[in-house]
Amino acid sequence: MKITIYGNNMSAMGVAAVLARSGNVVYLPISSHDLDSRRISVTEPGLRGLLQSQFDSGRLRSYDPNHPPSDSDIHWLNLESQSYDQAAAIVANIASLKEGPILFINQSIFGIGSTSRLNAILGNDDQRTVVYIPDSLRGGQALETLMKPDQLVIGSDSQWAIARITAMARVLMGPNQRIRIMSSQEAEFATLALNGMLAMRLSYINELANLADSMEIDIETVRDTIAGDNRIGKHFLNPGCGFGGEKFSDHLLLFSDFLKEKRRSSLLRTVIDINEQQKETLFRKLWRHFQGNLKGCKVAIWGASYKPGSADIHNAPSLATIDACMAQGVEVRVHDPLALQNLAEYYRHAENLVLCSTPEQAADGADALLLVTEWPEYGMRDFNRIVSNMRRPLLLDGRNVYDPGEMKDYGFHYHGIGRKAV
Amino acid sequence: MDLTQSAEWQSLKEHSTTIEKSHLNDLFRDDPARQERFTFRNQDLHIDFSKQRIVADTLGLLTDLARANNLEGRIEDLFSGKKVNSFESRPALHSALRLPNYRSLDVDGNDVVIDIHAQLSKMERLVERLHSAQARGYSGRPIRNVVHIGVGGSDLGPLMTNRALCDYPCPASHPLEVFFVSSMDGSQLSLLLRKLEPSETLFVIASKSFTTLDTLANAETAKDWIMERSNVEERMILQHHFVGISANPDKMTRFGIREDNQLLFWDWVGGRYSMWSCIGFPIALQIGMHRFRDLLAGAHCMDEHFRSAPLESNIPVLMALIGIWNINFLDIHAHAVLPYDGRLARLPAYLEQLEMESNGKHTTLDLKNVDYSTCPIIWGEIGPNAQHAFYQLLHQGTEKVMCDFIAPARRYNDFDDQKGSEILRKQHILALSNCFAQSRILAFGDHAISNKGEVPFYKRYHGNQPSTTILLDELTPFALGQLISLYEHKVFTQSVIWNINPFDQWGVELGKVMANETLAALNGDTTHSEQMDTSTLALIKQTLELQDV
Repeated sequence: MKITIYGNNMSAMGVAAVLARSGNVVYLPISSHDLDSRRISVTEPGLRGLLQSQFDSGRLRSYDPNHPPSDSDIHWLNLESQSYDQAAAIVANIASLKEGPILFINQSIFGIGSTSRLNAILGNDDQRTVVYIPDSLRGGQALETLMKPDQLVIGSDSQWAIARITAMARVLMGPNQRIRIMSSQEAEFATLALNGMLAMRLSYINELANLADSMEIDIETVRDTIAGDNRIGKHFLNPGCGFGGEKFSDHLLLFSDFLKEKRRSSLLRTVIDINEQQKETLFRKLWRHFQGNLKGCKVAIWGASYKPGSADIHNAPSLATIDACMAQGVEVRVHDPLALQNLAEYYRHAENLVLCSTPEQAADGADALLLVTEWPEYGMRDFNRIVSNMRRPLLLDGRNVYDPGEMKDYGFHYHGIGRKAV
Repeated sequence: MDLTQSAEWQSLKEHSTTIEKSHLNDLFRDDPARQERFTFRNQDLHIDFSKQRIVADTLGLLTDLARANNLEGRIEDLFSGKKVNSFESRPALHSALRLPNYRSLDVDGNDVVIDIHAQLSKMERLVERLHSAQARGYSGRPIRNVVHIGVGGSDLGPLMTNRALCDYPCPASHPLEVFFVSSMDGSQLSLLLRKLEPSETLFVIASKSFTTLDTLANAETAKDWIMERSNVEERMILQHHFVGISANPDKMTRFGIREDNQLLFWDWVGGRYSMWSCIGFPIALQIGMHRFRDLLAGAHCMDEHFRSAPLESNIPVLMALIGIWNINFLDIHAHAVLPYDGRLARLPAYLEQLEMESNGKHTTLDLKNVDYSTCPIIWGEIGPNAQHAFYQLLHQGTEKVMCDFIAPARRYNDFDDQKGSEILRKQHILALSNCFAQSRILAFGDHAISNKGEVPFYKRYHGNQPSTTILLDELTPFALGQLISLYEHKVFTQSVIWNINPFDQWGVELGKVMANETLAALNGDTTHSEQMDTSTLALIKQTLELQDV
């Protein structure tokens, strides 16, 4: 099949690479030169290589964004949440150029009901239609999750489109997929609702952790007990220094505004506010430890991406922490296995930011070490050496990765999230 | 020669006898070009003096009076940094606060423009820190509430301006609210503190001398409030929860405010002329630094006009001279300020201080008693509300009153910014219709009615109450800067004619001294009791008795 992808984000690139790998001819508004010159940053592990090989095979082709090929079998929208107008223009353009059947697959959320509005541009025809399929990409494991979602949701009223997509899914993902068919509006609603649910769990456990902090109670014990109940389960219940990520945050904000507008509900706004405050929790511990006198301190930060496995720093807790430290005249020394280049671009003019190639280098001479993103490689280091090279042995564990007793034995003064300081 | 004996004064006196006899209705009838003749424009301000009881000759005679009193020279003295505040032997350089940074002004061998912009930059850094949520309280949480504590000149300007420019959204990245507290008895403060979170609250202590009792009493209460709730040491509270604005850095340091949080102004800035200095910090916090600079630019625009325009077309000068005409020749001693826009609610109080504290004087610069009236009683209220209150007196009372009608022509038109709304725009137009109708009735009385018919005597309107109408294109920071600067220069011009010093306020000093004595007595110290009158002693006694109940 011939497929045109619109958008240049991680989902667009992921979908393009996977579809091309399956034998389709895929058009992407990004060239192999863009990848080489790093004009486009690819934050997903393995994706860059896959894209490159698909370009080399000739199945993945780039196009000028101003002139997308109009005769494709499928037009695939992976745009940002704010880009509805762009989506509408694309749909209108193809509608005017092409007669006969048109299939758009929209993986972007511009709000609940927006796919239906796009459909109206095509005239609500069964064989000229826009289908909504939630973007199943999970940052840090894009290639694994993209084509193996827990369930495939198809938001469409067009029998013609549903039949084609189900057939395609069988080829791409194999038989026995859980497929749910619903209206595009329901599918959009469900996607945002799911997202909100995850965020609520995180903000809830974080709020409990902050309470535990002030009560000499260990949140880890409480969390294990809650998670041990089958009705609840263990996912998205780890207390920490906040969550981030571009899509997650955008969708949360979108849904929160929607709830506010339709129901005057501030439930998700509160969830977001708690998270924004949580992003500064390590900074606040630092502030209180130094009684508000941070000027001239050196602080090491381990992990800058919004989650391990990704180079993406959108809305990452590390940014809030770095901003807060720099505003107080702190020298910030950051290590991250993948995200340093993105960080360098984000803080182009920062004077007080040192990007370090090893975790040890970051901690060297520091007054405090902050673990912000739980990359596996931070788990076990030569902590004896790290402690002896720090100016002050303060360890703030934003993900409760370490055992407090063990860290104390190394000579650290340890604070976790919702744990007793030792 | 004494002012009232001068030929110019005498000519005006004589001229006034003819004007006294004519009604504003006659003046309009006799001169079809009247409206154009007496209407002026300066950038965003449109000023109509045509409803004042003047004719073409009046302005000529008034400018003659101004020239005879060397007004042009005195304006130059004001701007160039001469010690126009002669009793305190210092310049009055509020206009320098608005000079662009490429200008310079030498005062005693020092370029004050450099100092001014250095403090503005320091203020800008503090504003940015607060706007970016990087100013933090003792817990490390960002500051969300700023309580500005000041009184008089350290309060009225920012309070009036923040209210006036409330349509502009605060450019902070997070919710940030600015509050004002001034009352000595702590009633405003205690009410406010109930709803604030101490860890997120910053107090701004604004006092030129940093000795103002009212302000320091509130500051102590504020400090006590955070201390009690935070359980952290005083030093940390003072460092992170207090900003000082003063001309007295030593006193700020002694209070415990750290250098980074000290904003300075100078003894050559009068308190009631100080909103252009760092006293404007709460303004910049609310509307953003670039809009604060627009406010300064508007005031500077009026400064340049005042300094360079010929007296005949110099708006502040004409406004001042018409005031003098009303007060000293038409015997009008009450002046109402009537804004037709709810955002200008605090403007009357601001102008009350500006005019009455500046020109409420009876001692001339050569230390004589004046034998003519100086500043009238000024009061005011939002016009449409005052229509239901004191307008009755304006229309049918026995006092002659001059009025200033002030309104923006345009409001609620910014549909793009979603500040606009058709229905609100209609409300604004409704207010304007009232504004124009009232000045018309005040001027023309019954003549304004087309169908006179048989009107009972008690329903008659005499009219002939003079007024000026100031239309702002729109209530922007720039236009407001122009407006306030216009009044400042009007006040200065009148002081020149009256030969008084508008920049001191000895009349408020004695009260402070006496309050200290009285405080001692209320605290049981009887040292000064012998000099006290029986009424005061009885009040003290009564109060002390009731304290013990």
